[in-house]
Amino acid sequence: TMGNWLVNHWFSAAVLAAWLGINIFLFTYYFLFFDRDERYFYTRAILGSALAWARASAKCLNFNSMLILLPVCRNLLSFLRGTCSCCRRTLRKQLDHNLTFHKLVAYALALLTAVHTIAHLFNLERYNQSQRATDSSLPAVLSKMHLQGSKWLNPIHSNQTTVEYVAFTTIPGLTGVIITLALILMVTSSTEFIRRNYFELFWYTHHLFLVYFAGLVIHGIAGLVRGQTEQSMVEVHPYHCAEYLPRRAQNCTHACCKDPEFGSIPAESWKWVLAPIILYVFERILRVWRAQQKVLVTKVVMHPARVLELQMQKKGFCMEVGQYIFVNCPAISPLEWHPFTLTSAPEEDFFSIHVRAAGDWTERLIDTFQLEIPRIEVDGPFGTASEDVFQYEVAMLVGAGIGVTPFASVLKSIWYKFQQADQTLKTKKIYFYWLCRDTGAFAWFNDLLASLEQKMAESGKADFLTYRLFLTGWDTSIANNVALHFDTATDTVTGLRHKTIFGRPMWNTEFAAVAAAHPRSVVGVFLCGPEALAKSLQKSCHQHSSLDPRKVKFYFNKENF
Amino acid sequence: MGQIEWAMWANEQALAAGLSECGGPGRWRGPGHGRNAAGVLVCLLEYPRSKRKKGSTMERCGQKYLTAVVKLFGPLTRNYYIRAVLHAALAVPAGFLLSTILGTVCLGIASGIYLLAAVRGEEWRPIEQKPRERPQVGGTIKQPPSNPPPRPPPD
Repeated sequence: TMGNWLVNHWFSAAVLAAWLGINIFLFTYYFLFFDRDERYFYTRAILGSALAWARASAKCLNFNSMLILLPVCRNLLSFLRGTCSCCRRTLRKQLDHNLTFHKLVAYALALLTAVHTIAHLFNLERYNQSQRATDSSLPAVLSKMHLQGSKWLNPIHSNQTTVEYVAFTTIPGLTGVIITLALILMVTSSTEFIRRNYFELFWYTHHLFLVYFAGLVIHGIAGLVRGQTEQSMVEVHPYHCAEYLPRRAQNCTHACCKDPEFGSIPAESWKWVLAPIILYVFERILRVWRAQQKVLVTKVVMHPARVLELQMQKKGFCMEVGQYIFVNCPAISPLEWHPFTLTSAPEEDFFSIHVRAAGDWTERLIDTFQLEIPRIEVDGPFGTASEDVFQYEVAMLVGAGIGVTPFASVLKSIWYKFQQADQTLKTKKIYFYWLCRDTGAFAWFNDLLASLEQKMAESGKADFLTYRLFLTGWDTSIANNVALHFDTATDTVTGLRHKTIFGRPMWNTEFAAVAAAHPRSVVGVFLCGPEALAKSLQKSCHQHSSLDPRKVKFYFNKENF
Repeated sequence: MGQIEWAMWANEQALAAGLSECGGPGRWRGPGHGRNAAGVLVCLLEYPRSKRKKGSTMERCGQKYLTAVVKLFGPLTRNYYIRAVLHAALAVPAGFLLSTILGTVCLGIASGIYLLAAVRGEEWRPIEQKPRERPQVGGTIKQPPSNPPPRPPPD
């Protein structure tokens, strides 16, 4: 529901509204300014309303260029998150949507660039035509003024040139083309398809932002867009003198004889982007510094289906459940950092990740570790902790495919807290639903469940955790095999006590069963998986929550693990 | 960057260039029709994404209709050298007017990346629909035999 969404995302909604509001304000204000202000009266005589379009979009471009670096300063964001520990968790969670905001600002930049470029292309045409015109129209007369010296209005001084020549030989023209090109290349290499499948291409091409910012700062230096100077306004105000300009005689005696004089708008992009650039430089330096801190690899485990588990230690490393780290292996590639969800619990004295072979870099990492232990650099942890999981008396955890990884951390942590009778743990019962096509790449998680199962049985708490594994990629031979062995104690596929179920879960049945078993509890539902699943879980939560506040209630938490 | 398939990026770049060529405002008037036609042609050619060498490929929405058409041209569309030359040729007309010069440069870059892809031996492969084998609920129930088992003669 809208109200529910607003409560969970109020910070994001506020940021979005503020951003949109500021953009609209800047655009409208400067559009009206350049469209109405008397200093630009003569400029508008040549350019028309394209002046206002170009300048208004330029202001918004500056504003958005300022913003775009901020969401990717993840250490800065972590710092903010840390200092906000007094704030509600929903605020900190929404700082995790930084990349979404970054993309939004990038789209705005692309759109505004298009507007700005097209407007200035019209401007160039009009400047050129005015300079070529030999009649006594106002634009023609204005264009011929102050061709020697610096008080000119029309930046094109020759009547034999082409717009293309001007575009490529002036500072704003050339830098404009270069930064637009950089922006286009960045955008086409950042599509989801390229990011997911050819991450290195995206990462390296994205560093064209250096070209973008350098070009942006230089872009306005030449001051080709001009208005009338203050002094000139006092001497020959356009409202009085404009009509006389085309018709002045040689021996003019009235008050409007003097030519109007024009000056540049000073370059201001640097004022907008200087602070974010400095912050970002600090961010990169900080990342390098953090990466230099020594990481000790304490254990390397090779799991079936080419899954590598790395257990590591680093001084001062402090994690919470559901967080992730960036890992770099200089021996493989000195510049690439790849994110991995932490699979260890905070209570353990090491932190671990499970690396699946899912591309170039991961394949090479796994190959390297089979021969030796290379040096590893770690940055993080990042992401908001998923502490909500411990707040519910009954928790339903749903992990689909690779989404099961953060739950490794969660389940282990819950078990440790339970054993140590941690007071922060309110959970009394966990239902875990694991959906995947086949368990191949997650055999390690299988083993984790098996060992948890065993520990719980030993503690006499075999009922603490109930889990169901749903294999959605079954075929007839698997089904036949299961049919043959239906009466064995452990599952034929996984070896676990709970039987594997083939096909997708019927959430109605599952929710009804949980509701029946815990008629008066508040149940937290947590998902790490695809959007479609989120929708059906949300629906089930609504359907099975009782209206009576004393009876069972399901709360859906779409955690962005 | 060992396993980069350059053609994939060239495809995104060319599609962006094509869209900008046929979508720019004020260009449907006057002598711009040739450039718009070039833009539309590029869009149609580039919309169906090629199949990746490894792994599954996300199709673009509704691309299967255009895949069928593009497939018909055989080696003309499969070979990336030809695409590189085609895009370079289509880029040229737009380069004469400043307002479309960005389209030219984008298409030119796409052409360059396609050339790189062609040199590395990449090819356009259509994404075919695999017939989904959904096991029917009743289809695998084994029917009991209809004949009685052979019995020895009552000796």
